[in-house]
Amino acid sequence: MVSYRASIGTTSTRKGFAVADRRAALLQGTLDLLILKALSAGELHGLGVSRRVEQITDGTFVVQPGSLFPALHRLEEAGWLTSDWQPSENNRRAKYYRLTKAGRRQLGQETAQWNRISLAIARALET
Amino acid sequence: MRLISGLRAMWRNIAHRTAVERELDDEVRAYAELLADDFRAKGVSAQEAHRAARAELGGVESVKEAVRQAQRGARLRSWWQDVAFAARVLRRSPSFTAATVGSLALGIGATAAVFGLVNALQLRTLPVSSPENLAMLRLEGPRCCRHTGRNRQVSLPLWREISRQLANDQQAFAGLFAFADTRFNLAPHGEVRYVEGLFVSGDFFTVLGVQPVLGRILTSDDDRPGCTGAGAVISHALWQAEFGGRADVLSQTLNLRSGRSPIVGVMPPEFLGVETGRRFEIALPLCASGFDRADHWWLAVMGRLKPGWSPQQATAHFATLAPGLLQSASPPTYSAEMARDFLTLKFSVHPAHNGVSVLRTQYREPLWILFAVAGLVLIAACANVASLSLVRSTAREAEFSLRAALGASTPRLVRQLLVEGVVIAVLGAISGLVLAHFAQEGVLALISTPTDRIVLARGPDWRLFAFTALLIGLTTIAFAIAPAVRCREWKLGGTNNRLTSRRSHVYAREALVGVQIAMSVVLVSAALLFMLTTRNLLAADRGFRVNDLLFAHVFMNDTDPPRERRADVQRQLVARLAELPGVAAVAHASTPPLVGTTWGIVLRVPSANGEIKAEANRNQVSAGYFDAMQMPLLAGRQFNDGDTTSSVKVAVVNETLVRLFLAGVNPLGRRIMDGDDSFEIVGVVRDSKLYSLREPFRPIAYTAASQFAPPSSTVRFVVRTATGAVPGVDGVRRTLAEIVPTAGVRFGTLSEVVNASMQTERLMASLSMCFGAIAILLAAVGVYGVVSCSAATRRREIAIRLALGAMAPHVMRAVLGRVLVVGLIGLMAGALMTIPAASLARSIAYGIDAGDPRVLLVVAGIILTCGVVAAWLPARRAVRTDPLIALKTE
Repeated sequence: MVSYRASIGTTSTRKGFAVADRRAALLQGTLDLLILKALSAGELHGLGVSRRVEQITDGTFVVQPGSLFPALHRLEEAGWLTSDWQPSENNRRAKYYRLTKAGRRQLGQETAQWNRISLAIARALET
Repeated sequence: MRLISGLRAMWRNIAHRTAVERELDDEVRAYAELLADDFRAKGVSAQEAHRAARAELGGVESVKEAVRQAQRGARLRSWWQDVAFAARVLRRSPSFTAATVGSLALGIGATAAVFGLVNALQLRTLPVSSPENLAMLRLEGPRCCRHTGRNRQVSLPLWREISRQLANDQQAFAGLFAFADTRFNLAPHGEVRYVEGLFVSGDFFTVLGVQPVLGRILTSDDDRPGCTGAGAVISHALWQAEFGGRADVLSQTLNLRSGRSPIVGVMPPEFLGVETGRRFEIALPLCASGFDRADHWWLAVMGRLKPGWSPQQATAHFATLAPGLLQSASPPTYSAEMARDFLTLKFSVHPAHNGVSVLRTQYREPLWILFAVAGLVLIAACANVASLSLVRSTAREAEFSLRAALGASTPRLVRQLLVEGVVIAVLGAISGLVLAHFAQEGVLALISTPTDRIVLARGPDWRLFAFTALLIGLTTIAFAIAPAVRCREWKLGGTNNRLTSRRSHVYAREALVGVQIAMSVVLVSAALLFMLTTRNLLAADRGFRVNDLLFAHVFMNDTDPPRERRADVQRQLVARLAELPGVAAVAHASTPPLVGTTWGIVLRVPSANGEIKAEANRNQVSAGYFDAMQMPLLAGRQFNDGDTTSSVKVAVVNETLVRLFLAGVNPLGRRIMDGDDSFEIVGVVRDSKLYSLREPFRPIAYTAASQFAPPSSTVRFVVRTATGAVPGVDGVRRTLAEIVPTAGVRFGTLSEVVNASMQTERLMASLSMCFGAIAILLAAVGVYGVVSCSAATRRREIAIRLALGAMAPHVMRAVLGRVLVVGLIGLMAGALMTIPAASLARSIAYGIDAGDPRVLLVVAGIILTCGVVAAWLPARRAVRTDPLIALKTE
């Protein structure tokens, strides 16, 4: 599991995962969290995940394939996602990803942690 | 959970690579098409949609590569790629690979071979349960054990006392056992067929904790005083060889000369006994030996210490028990003085986790010397490989600069070089281990003799693996480090500073050549030293003629012929053997040179100022002994037929005895005493070696066998054959069969025995010769390489100088000058290193001082000659090249 505490201040070097308006530094692991969140509503193929992330972040984050695929494979190899090939909405074959039980647990943990951190940072910035 | 799924993923990524790749490709392509569909849905033309999708994707290959990087096992795969790349690179330059792997194989092979022997002999523990608590109980004292060889220290009565103590007062040992190595004769009559054997006390197998594969072990019930037909336990090897591994072996009986013994058990194959270097085939209980005299020291005692007892504590404990033990086992035959000495003996306890070994003591020093020598060979080999790698790294400068320019990081390039180094080292180690196996076979064959086969447990064990791994690591570091350091220069893209880098690299190679030469000096000196030692030992004055002498040891039955006829039979045998064609003289002796059993005596010589008492050796011989051995008589007479049991007892003494005890008087007619016997000296004979070739001449008193009755049942004949005559083994055997058909016989020649007695020396000489030759070869290759390389870089300069009219010898001097200086420095360094090496070798050298400067001079001569030839060949080629051609190709 990626530790937010350890990675604060490091910049994501993955090309293509960028804040829409400009290439801003993003905390590592955020991508994983967003992907897990995107899949929490149901199974999606790669492009679907990308679109869904864009949608749930109101277009703030655009996930590009160069970082999406490595992240999907990493999460699947960790046992948080599972995948199978299915016909897509417009009748093409696509690989669909789905959260596993462990993935759902992981999403819960990461969400809680994220909330703690963002709360702490928000408080720190207010003072 | 995460770990398991991670491992599963890793397995899939590595084992099902093609499927994983195909699926990845499908997935990324499907993504691109879905993206294109999206664009089309927004009303973009089909062609434009594809282009836009590709643009957003950012390149199928780069996405796939990013996924590969994120996959489990990616790091492993990249290491594997490095190894595969290294293998490809090495396959492309077979001569470099052959030279480096060959050098390392020689170095690692030499080191591993010697280490394997050191390990088998010194380090390996016995294959019994918890070998670490095993300890040996020894007797020590200022005059202890004069009469003992090997491990024999304790008499059977003393052992009975010790084992009785074990039950009563003794606390240090949980269990004790006694054993003695012996030989059993499997042939009921005729020529003997010996197998190694053990007499063991009842608890031997119990205390060691060895379980039989078949039948049972011997127990204290088997070892009862006066036992008859005691059961025997046999080794796995004997079971296979003599009984074909059949299960009915337990109903078989061993027909030994000492009697018949039913087989009661078979040992597991890995249990060879408790003596390293020797194996047992048959074990009988102590009671079957019949040796129960209190002054017969023939047993060794070992035991298992109780938990928490150290050997030191046990020694202290036995100090309190010793007086009582010794008192009750003091031999009644001892004189008051000997008994007093006997009571001052002390017991000491020594760790014996790796068993006991005569071999270990005998070869401890030689093996460590050989180990050091092999280490030097390895250093020389590493220097050679380092030197070759440096040349090669220059040749690959362009390749590495290009890779650095394409974005390879310095660590990545260094890693690549190290991986190449490891691949070379591993290949070298594998071939080295194969070499080592054969080398060890050779060494064991060299130190074994037909009558004394040496068997070592040499199977792979963790020490050997750890050692080989260590060698691989060290050698890789030794030769891969220089090119790796130079990586930084390539990173700087420095084709500009090529001149300087090349020069530093020449320095490095010259230094390596210096190291190789220094190593060769040490190794060749060692080789020369051991060769001279062997030669000196062979040429040393022994006092008898070695060639054309046959030993025939005849073992008669206790009952046939009867004791009172033995003397007649012996006389008859001597007479009949002397008539055989080709036989010049026949005699027998209690101690033929180099093969007999020791017979040390305390000699008393009456003189003007009281009685001189001194240790000497006695040899009881038949009348023609001095003729048969060709030992010249210096004064007086030999033994003759007039010396009988009823005539006055006579002795012939040797020069050393006269010099030590009868200096300045006429020895003839003087008296000497051994125990109750008094002898009149009737002759003086030349000195001769008795037990070994190395020892100084001992004082020996020869007494006449014909004056002592009854003779022993074992007769050791010496048969002098006419020069060049075939040793008449068949004739002797036939004669023996006619006169005493029930007797056993064993043959040997004196020259075989002389050779066998020089095992250590021959081992050292042949191995150090091999090592020396390897070192010179490596050094010559190094010199050749440095000179040809420097000649190549200076080709232009040489060509210009020649074109301007310089004389070829002059130019050659310039080319050779540097390497000559390097060589001389190497020689001097090597000469300095021989000083500590000489002190190591001093104990083995014979007839020559280990630090003899003449040896060093000869060595310097040999190495200089080889070096000059190796340097001269490429130098001559350089100056012979037509300057025009040289300048054109530049």
